[in-house]
Amino acid sequence: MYYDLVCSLPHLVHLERVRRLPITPQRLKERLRGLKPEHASKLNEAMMLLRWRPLSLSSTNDASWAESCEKFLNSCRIESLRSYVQYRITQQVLVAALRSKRDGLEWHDPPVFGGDLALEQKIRRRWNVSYFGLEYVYPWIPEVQTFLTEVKPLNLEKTLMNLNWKWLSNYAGAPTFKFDDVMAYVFKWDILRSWLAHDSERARIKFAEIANQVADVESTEQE
Amino acid sequence: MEMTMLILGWIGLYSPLALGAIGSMIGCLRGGMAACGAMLEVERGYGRFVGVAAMPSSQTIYGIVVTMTLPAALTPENSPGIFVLGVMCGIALTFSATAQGAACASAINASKSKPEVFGVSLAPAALIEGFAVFAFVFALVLAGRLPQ
Repeated sequence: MYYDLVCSLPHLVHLERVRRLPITPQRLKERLRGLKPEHASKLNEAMMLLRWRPLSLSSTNDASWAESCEKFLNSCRIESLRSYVQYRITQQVLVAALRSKRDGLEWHDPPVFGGDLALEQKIRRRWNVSYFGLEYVYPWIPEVQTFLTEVKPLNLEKTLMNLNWKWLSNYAGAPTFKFDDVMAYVFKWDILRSWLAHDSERARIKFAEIANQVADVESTEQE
Repeated sequence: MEMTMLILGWIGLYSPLALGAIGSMIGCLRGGMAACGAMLEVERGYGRFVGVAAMPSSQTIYGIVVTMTLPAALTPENSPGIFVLGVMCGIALTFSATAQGAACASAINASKSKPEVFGVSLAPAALIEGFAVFAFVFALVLAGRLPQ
């Protein structure tokens, strides 16, 4: 039980109303020292996998990310973390499928999750069906597809963030002072941090950096 | 058989106090941990958090009173009654104290971010206290009906 830790964390305002982060990364890290070692290490692992903005773009592709997720799910015995990782995998797989379909691509073959994820099989079977026939199971698919089609990345990101926020709020609604509350808090905080980090000027610079990196890779390959 | 009855009587006699104290310890631990955590986040009003954290200590007082009210002279006739009354009252006090500790922790957590809900947030803890009082009062009433 984490009565002291949960009560030491400031309230998180919803991302549509937030003005600034209620707790700095450094202070949050200090507070999280109160976690048991096994909880801390698994939370850290999950955070590395599911951080809203990955630390580096070069380190992860679909297959390696999927491999890391499967490795994590096989080793993690904490139900709340497993559930959230599975939720995020499902969401990311669906968004990736919608994006591939929009761009006229085929779905991965072999599947990135080694065929273990039934969702990938469903997507492949129903590739030509609108929303893969999954709009009743995942009611957010039509909205996400609209934003993908209309190329509205900010709206798309906000929708996905809201979905994650709701999931985390439902999972750890009333405080039980268990690890679940801490886990939900940390991921919601990460969503807020990413949301507040939106900065068009910095984005322009980052885009230029990535474009240069890609250009460098292509020129090296040509040589 | 007589000895067994007397042993049960002694268990019943001390149960309200012992079980009430165990519950209070757990309840105060929960509330106290929450208060300590909240103190890291607020600049003032520490005293009221400590006061809320101490709410589950009342169950120990109820336990003391029930123990003192039960007949001190144990006989094979009154021991079964003392056992049942003492143990059941003790269990009720333990559960109420632990639950109250969790309710107090939630109240501290809520009022830390929103001080204006401090009073309202204590309502669940007060309700739980009410149930402990029921268990306490009726233990006293029934203790008066036990054979002396």
